Amino acid sequence: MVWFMNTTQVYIISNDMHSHMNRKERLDSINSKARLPRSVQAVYLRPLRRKAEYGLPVCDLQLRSYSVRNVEFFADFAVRAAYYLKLPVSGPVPLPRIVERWTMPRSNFVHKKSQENFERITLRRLIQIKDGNPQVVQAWLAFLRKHAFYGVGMKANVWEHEGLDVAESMDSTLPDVEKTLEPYLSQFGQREDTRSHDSISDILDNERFVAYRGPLTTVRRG
Amino acid sequence: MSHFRAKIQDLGGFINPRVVRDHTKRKVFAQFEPDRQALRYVIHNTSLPQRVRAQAQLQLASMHAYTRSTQVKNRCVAGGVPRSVIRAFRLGRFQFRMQALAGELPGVRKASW
Repeated sequence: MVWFMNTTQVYIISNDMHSHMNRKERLDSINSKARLPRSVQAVYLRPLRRKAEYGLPVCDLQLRSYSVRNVEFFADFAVRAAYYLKLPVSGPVPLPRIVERWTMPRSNFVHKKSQENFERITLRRLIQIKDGNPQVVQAWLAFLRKHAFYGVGMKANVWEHEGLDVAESMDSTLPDVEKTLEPYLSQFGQREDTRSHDSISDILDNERFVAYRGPLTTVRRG
Repeated sequence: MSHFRAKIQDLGGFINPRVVRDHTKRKVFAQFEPDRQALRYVIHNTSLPQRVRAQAQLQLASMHAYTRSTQVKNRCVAGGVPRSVIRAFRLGRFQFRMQALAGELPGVRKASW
């Protein structure tokens, strides 16, 4: 640093630090003396992880991108976010790349011998959440959607687990489900004004089937 | 056919008469698909009298060509070309090449292996 070169200034600083230092110098001294906050330091290190107690998969998140940097960055972000939400995570697992290739003639069809190849490689990462609370998993997914990164697509498979007495719990929730379905089921059925007692040949003679005929399909009489 | 064509087109991208025609065909096909399926049901239903089934057959055959799904053809959205259209981008081969070289198609680049 610059002020170590000047002996008189060093003397001043050692005498009373705070009165004679300007803002920049004070900031520099903080930088050399104090460490970063732990949460900021953690960004430079490998992401922390929770340990899964049972290892029951709850959510599979697949990230896709055409760029390695983007997908790696966002996978790292997702793993860190899961740590702070106390979700045990396994991954990111690099899944096989999807390679699509197209070959196009460079010019007109006559010049078929000279062609050009194009490709699009989709990179994938799989992040699996293990034995997490469904609501917390939803919160994690919502957080990732809120901070979605450019050029990275997300696809999540979420599994919910039930106890062994599924039938009982379904029976107990049935009245509520029926109540929510009532407005829809009340509209189910045939409309009154479309009900007709015509025979099928009458329906076929109906103008709906006759109106849009192709040209030259009517038989000329006489 | 002109009586099917909408007065105001809801079309984007490259437009020429053939693109408009194909667009019209798509809309007409979508509109008449229930009718076609109803007639097909009648034709395939062996419990109906033969006369009715024959009538339905004739009516299905006499429906307008635009109501057929086979009339629909994918066209390049940037040039209207009907041949060698890449499904993933809905572009003809030359338009695809130009746009890929210009870097307008995400992730597409020149391959060499």
